[in-house]
Amino acid sequence: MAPLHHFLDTNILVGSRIEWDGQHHHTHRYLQQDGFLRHTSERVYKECTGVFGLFRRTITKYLNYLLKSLPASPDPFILDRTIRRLTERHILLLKNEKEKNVLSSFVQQNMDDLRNCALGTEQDRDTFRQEIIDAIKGAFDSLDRDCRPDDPSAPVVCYTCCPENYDSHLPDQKSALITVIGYEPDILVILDAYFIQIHRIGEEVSLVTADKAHILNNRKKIEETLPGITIREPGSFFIG
Amino acid sequence: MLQSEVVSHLIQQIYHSRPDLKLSKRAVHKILFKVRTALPEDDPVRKNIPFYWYNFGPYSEVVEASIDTLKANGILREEETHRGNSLLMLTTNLTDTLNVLEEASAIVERIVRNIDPYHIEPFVNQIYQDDAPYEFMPLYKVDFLNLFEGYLKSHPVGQITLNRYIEDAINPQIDRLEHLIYDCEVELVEEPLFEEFNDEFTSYVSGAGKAFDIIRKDEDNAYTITKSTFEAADGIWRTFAKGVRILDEGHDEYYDNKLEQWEGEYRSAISNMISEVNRFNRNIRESVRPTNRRNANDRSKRILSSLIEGYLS
Repeated sequence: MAPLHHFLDTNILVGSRIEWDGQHHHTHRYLQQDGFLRHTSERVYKECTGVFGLFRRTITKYLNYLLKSLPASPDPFILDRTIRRLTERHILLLKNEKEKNVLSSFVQQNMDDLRNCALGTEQDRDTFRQEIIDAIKGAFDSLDRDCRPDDPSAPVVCYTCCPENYDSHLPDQKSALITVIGYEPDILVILDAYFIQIHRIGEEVSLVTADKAHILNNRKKIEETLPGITIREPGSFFIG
Repeated sequence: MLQSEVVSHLIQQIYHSRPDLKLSKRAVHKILFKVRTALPEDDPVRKNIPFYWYNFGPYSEVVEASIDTLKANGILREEETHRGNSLLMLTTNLTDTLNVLEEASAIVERIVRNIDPYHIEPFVNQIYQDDAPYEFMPLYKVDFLNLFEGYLKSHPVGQITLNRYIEDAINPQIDRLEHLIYDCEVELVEEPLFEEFNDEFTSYVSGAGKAFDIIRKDEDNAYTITKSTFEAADGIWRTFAKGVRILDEGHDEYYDNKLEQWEGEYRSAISNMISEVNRFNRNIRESVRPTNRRNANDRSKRILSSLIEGYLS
């Protein structure tokens, strides 16, 4: 029988802020499922807020760049092409792959609004920027509602007791994971799950994640290194 | 002429133009900075007044040392005002043999004639607008922090408004502050040295957004939240000031030998800033009153979906 206790990774908490259609991620549907006790750590919570903050910064910077770069009276017949060209130029300046993906997806799915901004008034532009900011504020709101620090009645209990790094608490486990995963931020999250399993929960814990590159692909090694931890994808809990 | 003689001469020139002047040290620094920027690029006097950008705008260690020397020589003296500020004034009458640096002296005279020594802030703010090396600086220091400080002073502890009884309370000053902090985020300095600072700044902005919602509704803890949001913002500026002087645009070559020391100070300030921003955000998170789920409209949902989809792709 699968463990009742779940430790949620950043991608699950971020992904579950919105409802997805069947073609997309399972994160929202997973969080709607009852019957599990969900946990996370302050580190994961901070990663989530960092992700939402980066969304805001990336998009407001881009809007600023776009509106400054467009001609005063852009030609509506070639406007989409102009916006795409300027976007490509801006994306080249971004160093972070995630930022590039976020911006590409934003432009692709909000082209109508971008077009209206380019052709509209100062007020239209302000309104659109404010809507972006409010959408992200909504994500913060929803995260804070679900994920409350050390509150056992919260939908996701957010533990604040995990050490900053595991150099002195779990040094052997940390070294073993460094050899396999090689990416410290993810290793610290995995060790948070283990630390909470040992010190707070005392029963088996599933670490629920959509991270293939560092975690799901190394499932076997992680589970061998950290007894009591199993690695699961959110979709694996769906019935039917 | 030696560097110290040039600077000392220019400081005396300030008082030569208006012998009755009483000026803060800060004002003397800013006047000489303005003199420097007004001089032609190739004027040798420029090199003698080296500056770097710091907490209160352009600052010069050479000017500071010259003020001390003029005080020690009895030419200037410092007097404390009833508010506890120190003002520099002339002790003796100056002789008329000061016209050695003609062009620079003329510029000093022109600047001094046009400033109001009792209201130096507009002059300093204009320096930020005209001469600061990064757009972030006037936006954050002059527009955001000054407005925020004024707001805090005009909303003392215990003052309550009707906003706490209104569902969609409005507060144009807070709206303006919130708008400005997002503008500042757009103008962050894109230099490798500032990567960590920028991430922490973004983290602060996220917390400040929630704080402004609490303040706007004038909840019981509004004053405490306003104060802690301002204090965190002020601390962030001080960290920024420790970093900006390291960049080429933030200092004159004269200070190149200080860069290693400044970098150490900046790293330590960043580490403090991380703790402070964490504490601030934690405090705000605990202060937010649980509200009903916001009803996001379709446009908001589409915006957020597009961002999250990009992140998870």
